[in-house]
Order: sequence, then C-alpha cells, then structure tokens
Amino acid sequence: MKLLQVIVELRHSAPLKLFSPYEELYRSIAGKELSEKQVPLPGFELTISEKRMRIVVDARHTAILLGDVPNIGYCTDNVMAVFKKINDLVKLPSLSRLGERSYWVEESQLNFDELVSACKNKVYKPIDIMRESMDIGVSFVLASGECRANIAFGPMELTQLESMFVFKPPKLPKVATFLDVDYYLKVEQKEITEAMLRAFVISGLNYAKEQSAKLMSLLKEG
Amino acid sequence: MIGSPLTLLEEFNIPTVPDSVFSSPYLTLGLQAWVPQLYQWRSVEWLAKTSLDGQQPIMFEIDNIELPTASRRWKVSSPEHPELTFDDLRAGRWPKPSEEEIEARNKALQLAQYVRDKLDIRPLTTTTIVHQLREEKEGRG
Repeated sequence: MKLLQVIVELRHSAPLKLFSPYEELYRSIAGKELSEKQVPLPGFELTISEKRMRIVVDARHTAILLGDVPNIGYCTDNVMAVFKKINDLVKLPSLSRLGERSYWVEESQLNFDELVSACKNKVYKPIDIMRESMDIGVSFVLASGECRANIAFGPMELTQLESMFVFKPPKLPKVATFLDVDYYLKVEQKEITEAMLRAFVISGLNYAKEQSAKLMSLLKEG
Repeated sequence: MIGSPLTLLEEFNIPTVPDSVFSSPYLTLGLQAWVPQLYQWRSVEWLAKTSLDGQQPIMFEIDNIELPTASRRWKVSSPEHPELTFDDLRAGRWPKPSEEEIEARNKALQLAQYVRDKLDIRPLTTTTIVHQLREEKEGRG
C-alpha cells in the first residue's frame, strides 16, 4: 500500500509555558503561583504549502502533519527537525500520550461494490445483515509491546478518499482500499527525549507498513 | 468505508453552549479554552485519536521553510551520476549503472576469479586451520 499522510502528535500532561505567559511572569516575579488559572493563549497553526506540511502547537499538544511522504526516512527526518525547532524555543512538557497516525491507500481494479463484497467475504461471517450491507468499515485495537494501535480499513471511492487528506495527493484512484493506523503510547507522565521520539516515529511507521502488507495479503488470498 | 467511533461515549457528553457566548469581535475561542476545567471530566488525552485539531488556532501560511534535515546535512557526490541526491538514495532510487560501469564491474569480477584460481584461495575454516597447523608441526619435527 502507498503511504499518503502522516500525523505525529505529542499530547502534553501540562500546558506549554509559551501559551500561559502571564502565569509564568507572575510566578517568576511574585515567586508564587497565581490563585486562578488564566485562559491559555490560542494555538498556532502553520501551513507550509510547498512541503505539504502543517504544524500545530497549542497549550496541550504539538502536532505535525506530512502530506508528502516518499519514505519512512523522510518522515522521521522532518518530524524530528520540526520538534527540535519547537523544543529549542520552549521546552516541551512531559507527555500523556504520543501518537502517530498514517493513511495508506491501495488502488483496486474492482469497482466499489465488488470491493465491498470482497472485503465482507474476507472479514465477516455471511450473516443476513452482512449480506445486505452496502458499505463496510472494519476496526480493531491491537497491542504492540507498550503501544496500542487503532486500525481501521475498508473500501473507498474517490470522493471519500479526497476528503481524508489535508493536502490532496496528486493522483488518487477511483476505488481503493483505505487503511488508517493510529499507533499510540499512553503514559502517566513521560519526559520526552529526542532518542525516544525518533524510535517511536520509526517503529510506528514500520508497524503500520507491516499491517498494510498483512492487510493486502489477506485481501488477495484466495 | 464506514467510520467507526473508537472513542468512548463519555466523550460526547458535553453540554451544548452557543459559540456566540464565547466570542469577542477580535477573537473566537473554543469552549475548552474558556472553561479548561472541562478537562476534569472529559479525558481527551487518553481517548481521542491522534489528531491535528488545535483549539481554534491562529493560522499562518508560508511557501517553504528550511529544516535541519539529513538531506541538508549530507551531500552525495558521485561523478558518474551528478544528478543523484541524498533523497534519491534514501528512497531507494539507485541510478542505473552506465555501460562503462557494467564493463568495469565485469572486468573486476574476471580479475578476482583469476586471482582466486591462481592463489588457490579456499574458505578458512577451523578444520583447515587445524590441518595447516598440524602439517606445519609435522614438517618442523
């Protein structure tokens, strides 16, 4: 399957200091905490059109979306470079969740109805309600070591496919099998390090690639 | 494909508040920004899928940026293939060898085969070493 979009999101257990400057100033000058929490500043979103990249930073999360993903090395490299730039400006707080979501697409030679039927035959028992269904979506939560993965897949037509991507890919098939892999790590409070983030990004994409190969092999069997 | 809700039901248990209540002529902030304590009973961190959605962020757009990526740190220099870049190599796009390269490679293989035959090079295994040592010892004795 072809990798077409990746989102890496760091969800923080404490707000980024950048978005609560008055509380920080108060603490620094008065030497104590403000009695009432202030409303955090609105988030920041930067779209880099040529790189087909979007970066979102707000009080609670830091995320990067890549709409151009030629290979896993490119993804890792760009994600690390962006997070390093942000971390150089403001130290990222500890994490409550680390997630990497990737979208994979495989063109189908079947028409949409045939692909729905093929998916149903492979995944579900032929009960009445299943025979009557016009469309399906399949989702699982899998475990991989400390991490979990929300996996969803199913057939899609061009109009639905187009709605899935922030940056429309140059060429999308008319009918395709779509796979969404949300690989994540839930933690109580974890300090973020460059090595840990790099390892997570690589393992998340490798895991998703493995799942996409398994899915294709399942759908092609028989 | 039908989307399936992977989040739990309590995520949807949010009071309905008109957006206009939380707006000013200059800036519109989301419910979570005005009432952050809502997080106490809405455990967004653990339930929501990996997402790019920010809290109604201020948006900017630029054409391009320079990032300290490996493609900028590393340069590939191949006189035979000046067009080759680091990104090509990383993506597994190796250049096809030229006629001269194929010819040179064949010559090198032939030469290696010739040297191997001439010197009678065999794989060095434990048995060979023991055998050679024994021969040497017996020769000296």
